[in-house]
Amino acid sequence: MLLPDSAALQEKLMAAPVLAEKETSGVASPLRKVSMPRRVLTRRDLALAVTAILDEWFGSSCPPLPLTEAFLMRLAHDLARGLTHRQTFLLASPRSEEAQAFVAARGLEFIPERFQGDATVLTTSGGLCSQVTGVADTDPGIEHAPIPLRRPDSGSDAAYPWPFLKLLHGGADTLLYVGRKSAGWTRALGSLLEAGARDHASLWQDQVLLVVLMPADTTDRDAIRLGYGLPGTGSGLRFLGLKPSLEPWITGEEFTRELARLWADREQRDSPERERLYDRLFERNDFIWVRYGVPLMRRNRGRWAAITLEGEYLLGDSREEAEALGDETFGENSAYVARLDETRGIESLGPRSAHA
Amino acid sequence: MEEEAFPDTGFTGGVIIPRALVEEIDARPHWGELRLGNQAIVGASYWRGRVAIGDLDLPTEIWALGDEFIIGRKVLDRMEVCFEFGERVRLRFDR
Repeated sequence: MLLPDSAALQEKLMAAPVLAEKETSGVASPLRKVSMPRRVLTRRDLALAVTAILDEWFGSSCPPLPLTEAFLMRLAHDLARGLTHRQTFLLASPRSEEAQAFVAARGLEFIPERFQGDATVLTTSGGLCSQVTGVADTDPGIEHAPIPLRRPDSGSDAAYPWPFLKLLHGGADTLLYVGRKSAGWTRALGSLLEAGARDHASLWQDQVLLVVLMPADTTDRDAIRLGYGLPGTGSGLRFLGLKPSLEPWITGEEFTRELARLWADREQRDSPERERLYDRLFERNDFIWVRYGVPLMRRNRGRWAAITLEGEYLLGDSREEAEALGDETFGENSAYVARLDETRGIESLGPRSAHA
Repeated sequence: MEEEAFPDTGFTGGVIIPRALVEEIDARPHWGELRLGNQAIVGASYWRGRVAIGDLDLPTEIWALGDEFIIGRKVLDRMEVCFEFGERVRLRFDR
């Protein structure tokens, strides 16, 4: 680690552990905790909810196609419970009688109305507040289009699934899409949704986007793919299988150790395994930013912060200073370092880099 | 090794080297983020090092991305670059 040679910074580094101790004795110190973090669902929350529903309702298999809406209703309901402690109301109107009977038999209460999507969970807080809105897309769609459709690199809406585009206009804090296509089409659908989410990023710039792609023609859980997109991060929608989605956030210690291991092997330095390792840190850091960074921005705009998964943070006046303070206090790579403004202090490349 | 490096006033950072070169670098990198021209953000390796051009020698971040050498504003802002009718490039350095 290269430390800037500023004497002032060195003084702060020496002082940090002592100041952290002061925190425990109740004396004001630079080590603080974000008091009002945003409630945000994680990819793991989604994976755990999906697994629980499959286990409890579908005998560890995937739901038959006509019961997709029943699955969506329960998932929207369970995810909303992770977001609020207030009383929630599930609004849904399943199209199939089979789904209606299935849900009723399992005691999931709902109001038979449609609001924004196929299933919506509301709370009342001085007015109706939409927590989760979901759509179930069971239409074979472009899979059976009579003519081959181009990939939507041109930005055309022609190939994006319409229920997905409709969902992006929803007003809930969390948007949920459940897609059921053939196993062969599921991966291609994931790419389409990634492109659709990227091209319409302005529509969900303040919402969490969750996607469950469950092949309609297999009961193999390993074929399920989960999409996760955090608002305003520029990272778009990213897909992972169900099993890796169950992994907890990577710790700084784990990342540092794995990177050292991969770097020791010359051939692993630019390997898919190293890419996956970076992706795990990337997603963790996006989560830290949305949960803690954005609330912090209001009071400390323009300053640099090292923020942990628990919401503890230290402020500095430069990336180097915040990074050094964060490494010293929390451990290497344990804190996300960002400037508290919309750019997060991320260096930008010119237009020629769009495909780098 | 002799390679051309492109000055890029759209890049706000220091220096970018081709990603293929990471196999040659034994020092463990830092992890960082870069915002591409299409506003997508990507994770990338970077090192803290020094860049030396003529009389200029300054500390900067060196990123591994893409397949070109690129010099960004953190370096260019310390130089005067004069392109002379496609025949010559004259450099002057901030002291």
